[in-house]
Amino acid sequence: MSEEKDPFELVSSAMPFEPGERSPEDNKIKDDMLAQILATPTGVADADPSTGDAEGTQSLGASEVEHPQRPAAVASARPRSAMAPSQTSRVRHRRPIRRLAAASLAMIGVIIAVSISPFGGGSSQAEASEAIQQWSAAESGVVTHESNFGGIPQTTVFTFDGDNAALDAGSKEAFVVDDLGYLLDQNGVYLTSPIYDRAYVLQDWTDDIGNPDALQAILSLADDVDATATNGVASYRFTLNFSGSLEDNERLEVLPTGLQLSPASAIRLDVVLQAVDGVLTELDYDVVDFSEGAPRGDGQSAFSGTITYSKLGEPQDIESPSNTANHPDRYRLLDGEMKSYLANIDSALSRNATCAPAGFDATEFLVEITDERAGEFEQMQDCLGDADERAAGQSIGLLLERRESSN
Amino acid sequence: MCDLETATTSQSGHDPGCESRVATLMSVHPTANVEQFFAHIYDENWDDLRGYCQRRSPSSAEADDVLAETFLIAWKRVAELIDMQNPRPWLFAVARNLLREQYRKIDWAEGVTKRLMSELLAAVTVEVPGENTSADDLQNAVLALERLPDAERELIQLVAWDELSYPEVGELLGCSPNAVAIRLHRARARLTTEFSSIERSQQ
Repeated sequence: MSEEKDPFELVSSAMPFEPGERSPEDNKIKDDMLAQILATPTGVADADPSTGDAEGTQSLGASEVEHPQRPAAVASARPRSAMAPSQTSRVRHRRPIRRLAAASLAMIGVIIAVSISPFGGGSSQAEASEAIQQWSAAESGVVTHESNFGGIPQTTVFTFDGDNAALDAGSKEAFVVDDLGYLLDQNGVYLTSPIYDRAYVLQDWTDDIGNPDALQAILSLADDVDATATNGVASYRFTLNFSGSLEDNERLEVLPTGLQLSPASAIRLDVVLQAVDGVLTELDYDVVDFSEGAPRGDGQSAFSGTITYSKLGEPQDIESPSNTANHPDRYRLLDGEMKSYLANIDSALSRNATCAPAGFDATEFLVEITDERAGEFEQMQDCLGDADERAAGQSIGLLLERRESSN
Repeated sequence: MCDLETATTSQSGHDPGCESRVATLMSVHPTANVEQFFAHIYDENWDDLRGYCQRRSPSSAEADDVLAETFLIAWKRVAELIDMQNPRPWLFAVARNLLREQYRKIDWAEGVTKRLMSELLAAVTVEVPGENTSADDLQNAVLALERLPDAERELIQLVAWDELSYPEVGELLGCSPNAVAIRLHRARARLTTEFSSIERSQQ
């Protein structure tokens, strides 16, 4: 192929039915259409037509206009406001249509005689997405992850039931039971605390077992999605192939736990999902990491594993461990950054008690920060800054930034 | 001056106060000037949506039927349109779903194929001196497009033919603009690969 030939540009240059100057007939069609539409009463909503969802019918009468349910397709729309034209006006910068020789017209006819299906994301992808959605809805179950990296096998078992969970990753064991976190230390003692970070204690095996959001993201980027019935209508198998580097800001967190795809990754990922009755039961993956610096074996790094989802929806008996101890550091079960922030604040407030209300506890930063509380914390930040407690002031600032970014 | 008309024309510029007041006015009198508001949306999107429907319908009349139904649905949900920062992707999503329904008809896809073929033939009837591209190139590009998976083909069509922006495509397909960029990058790469493969097979 000649370098100057870009098939995308060629396709773009041959836009069928390119809008141009409207003919008088077009203008009449447009005006008549508008007149007919405006003659129809408004204020009655059908099921959301932008999502193809037949359910969720709602009334949107004039009296309810204050709180219309926004269609999923525009979930990011800003709060109520009239639309400014600058946000919708489009300046057309069409490339001129190339006028080409008629030599091979017949060939073009042959080529597109095979119907060009205009809609992607066919039923295979939709079925896979639906299965993953069911998976994320499970509130209890057992997830078993068997992996092999560089010939070293490892098995992790994650059991969950509502907020309670148990993680058994060989030498690493952890629990969350009745709002207490437990983490096995090197001496065989479970350190326990009501102040804990769930993701830290459970090593990212949090409520979103295996992170279905990440799986959905992978699915949306998949090169191929195939669905095949393997056991009649009740069983499906989906195959996904993902390859190539991720780009700016596209970081797919954990899929499954331990497998991270970052912008620097160049990974080929083959995933097979097994679903029964539309519910995910097994995920097999094979990864080849072509990233620069990846551990090399036969020229590349490869690892694989199987995740089995069982007893989904069934109650799980998760008991708190015995042999527990409180750690002197009450923030021991928080992740490193948060531990530092709160320790800095505690330390500074011990020297500058007047910067905080009586009875203030730094763990208040761990719960959702309301606008009102954010204002109080900013005052605290200023006060500690004035007292030359820079580390604590910066910690508060960073915690407030986290809150901003999560909103 | 701040009223619905100025808030929806360039006269208001970016006056959030005006927008807010108009929003309040419409919440109190939801039918006041709604026709003007809708007509503005209609004018802004009619040509592009019509092109979108034309490219996916076997006849102009059927395309206009889908177009009219799309705007009728929008009219019925005009209260939600007011809430949208940019209703354009939503309108395309409505049209897309309506067209998907039509594609279940036996003859619809075949009719679209014939119509697209006719349109593309009309686009390549005059040669431009000095133009470095040949009809062979176009035919190979279209063949390469045909070979792509459905999702990638639709993505390329949405960007190349429907001229939707990445955020708009993202809203339409339910993914982030970044994911659109990545997928388009991949689709273009695959398109180029297929294009090269076709060229090689002809040598």
